[in-house]
Amino acid sequence: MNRKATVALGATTALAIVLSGCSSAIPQGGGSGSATEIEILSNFTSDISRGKVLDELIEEFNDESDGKYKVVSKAQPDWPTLQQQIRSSISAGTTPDLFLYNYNPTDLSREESGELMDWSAYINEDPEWKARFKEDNLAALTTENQLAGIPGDQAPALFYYNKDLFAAAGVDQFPATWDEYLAAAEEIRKTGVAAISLMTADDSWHTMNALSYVATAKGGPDAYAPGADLDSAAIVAAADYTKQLLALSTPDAVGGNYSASTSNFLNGQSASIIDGPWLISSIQSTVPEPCSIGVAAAPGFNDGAIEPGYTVTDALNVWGAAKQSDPDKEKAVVAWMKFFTSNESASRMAVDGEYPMAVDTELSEADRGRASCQMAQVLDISNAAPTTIVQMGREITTGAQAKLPSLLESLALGQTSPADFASELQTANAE
Amino acid sequence: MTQTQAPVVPGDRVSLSGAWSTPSTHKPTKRAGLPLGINIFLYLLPAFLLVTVFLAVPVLVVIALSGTDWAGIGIPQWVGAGNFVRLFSDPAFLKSLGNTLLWVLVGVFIHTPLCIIVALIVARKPRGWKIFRTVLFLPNIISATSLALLWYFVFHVSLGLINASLTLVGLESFTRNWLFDPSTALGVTMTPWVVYIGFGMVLFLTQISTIPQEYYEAAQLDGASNLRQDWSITIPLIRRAIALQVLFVVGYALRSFEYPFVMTSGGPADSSSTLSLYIYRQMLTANEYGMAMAAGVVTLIVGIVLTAGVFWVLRKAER
Repeated sequence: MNRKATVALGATTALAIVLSGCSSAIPQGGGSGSATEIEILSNFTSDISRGKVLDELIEEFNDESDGKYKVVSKAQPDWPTLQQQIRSSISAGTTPDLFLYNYNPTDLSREESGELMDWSAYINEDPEWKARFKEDNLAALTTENQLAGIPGDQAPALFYYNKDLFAAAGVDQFPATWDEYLAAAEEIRKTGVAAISLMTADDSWHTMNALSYVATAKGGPDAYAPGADLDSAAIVAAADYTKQLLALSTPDAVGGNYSASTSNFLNGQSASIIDGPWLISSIQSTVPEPCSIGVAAAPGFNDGAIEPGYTVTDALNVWGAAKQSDPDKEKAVVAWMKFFTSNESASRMAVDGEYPMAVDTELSEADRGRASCQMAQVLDISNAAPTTIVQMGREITTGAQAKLPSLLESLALGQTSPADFASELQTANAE
Repeated sequence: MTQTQAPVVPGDRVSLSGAWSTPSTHKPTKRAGLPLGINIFLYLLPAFLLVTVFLAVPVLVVIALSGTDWAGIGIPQWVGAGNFVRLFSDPAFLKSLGNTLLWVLVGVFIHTPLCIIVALIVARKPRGWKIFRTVLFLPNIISATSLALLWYFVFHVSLGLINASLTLVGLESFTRNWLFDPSTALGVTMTPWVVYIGFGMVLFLTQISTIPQEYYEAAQLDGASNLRQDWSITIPLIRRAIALQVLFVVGYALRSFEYPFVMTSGGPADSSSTLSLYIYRQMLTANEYGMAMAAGVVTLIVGIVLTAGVFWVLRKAER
């Protein structure tokens, strides 16, 4: 090799070494070289409140572990994309270290893939930690004595209503029964405002919340439990009320998506919406008088099918983890989850992140003082709820879920009767 | 121009006795080349590999998975023709298939003639024809998703341009929920595609430009009108371009996704759903990968049949 070539090679090597030192935007701590690193895959992006709190908690955990563990957050903002990403990763044998997924009792393909870590030994050896979770949730996630994940969140879907718009229609108190609600909705409509924000696109979230509440109010907590016959009087009644509600909603309810439905409520074009606590940050940032938005448990019926004050919730979201060959990595995953599900972390996630977790959360007086007017009500209603029931759209099979928008739109347009709706939903769910 | 010679570097093997550029007086030696068959094989190998890896193998995988029940995780379970039986008993699939075929018909019998008519007009180079041609072609370089979003707001029930315009001119009774009225939803999702005629127009203009001018001069001497010239000279001579355009149209119609997805999500009640949207839903909402693959196979068969049909018509026209 001649001299020029040797010099050029040397210079290139030196440049590569220098550039490799500059390539990472993350500062490399002195002790991080030996830290066991785990990645968390969720939809907690840093631009939303729960993402900000997660980032803070991660930073604290990494500091507290003193170089032993390093947690890194990888966020995918779009929930359906995230779920497909997780599914594909499990299928490809590259399961993420820790990930948030939606539990569906009718689709246990992820839990039964053999790719997930078994948490049972860790939770059983720590009774204090185990006591922080609802027994029902742990039981649901347990298959053949193996615990597939740690309950993450189970957001209550509650009525958020615009007190001023209700008052303008002469309704001073949130209705206690569905018939009173329909009567109030008619009055609200006369003022030129839609009574409720609904939508039928995608997972028909807002509409399915209403349908689930009416179905359980009529047929009790097991009205649409897995294995139940959906071609029932309760579902027919629920479809009938939902059809009436769709008629009292905004003109874009049929075919509208979550974003349109939520915007209608936040802009004052509709007086109420049934949504999760993630709506609170939008209320706080968009509505001129945020505390004019009240939170209420859903109305019921006076026939005693279910105790009033119950809540319908979103699916149980679960923190699953990859089966690890490295014991240190498994220890890191468990250490992080214990830290993340502690009362202190859960309180901060609830108050600052507007994200109530599926763990026993006791707010201190200081935390309660910092909570937004809606979050305090959400926590009160959730704590007082005699029963929680997962929303129907999250309990039926994925095949039936795919048919929901079409079925609801047919119902709203009068192409399908409530009885046919129930019958077709049952057929789709049984396939 | 003077030609400069490159400096001679010590060590270079240059004959200093002969002229710099004197060609060799040696007879060309007969090189033992590879047989023609191997040469052709080597030339085709890269394309063959690409087609195999990125087309043939995926198609075979799709066909194989179409006979399975698979949720995207775990081992697919063989169900034979079960998915196809389920497909053809699913009203949503039948609606999507019917709508897709309607997209093909609209593409062939409305969109393509519109492209031809505009191309015939622009080919006569009226005043401002270049601007006209550019403006018409512009939508082809904008993302279909952006355009779909734009049209969503054109047809939106409360924010839309159409309803606002109708209200403005006192035709409020004609306003409606264009996007989510079952009688208008499909037409509304097709509208942007039908009116964006730029690509077809350019295709026809290119072909028209190759037609010898003498044909038209002869026709003019015979007293043929413009319409007669177009009908008897231009259209027959651009028939290959028409066939190509129809193939493009069929291909696009079978893949039609962005406009129904963004504008109506295939609703209301599947009234604007297409095969692509149906496949998307089966995969990403229902986690029915086997069903999605089966629907893909049906799409493939429909595409092959339609393409063969176009070639058959073209061959007949050639005779």
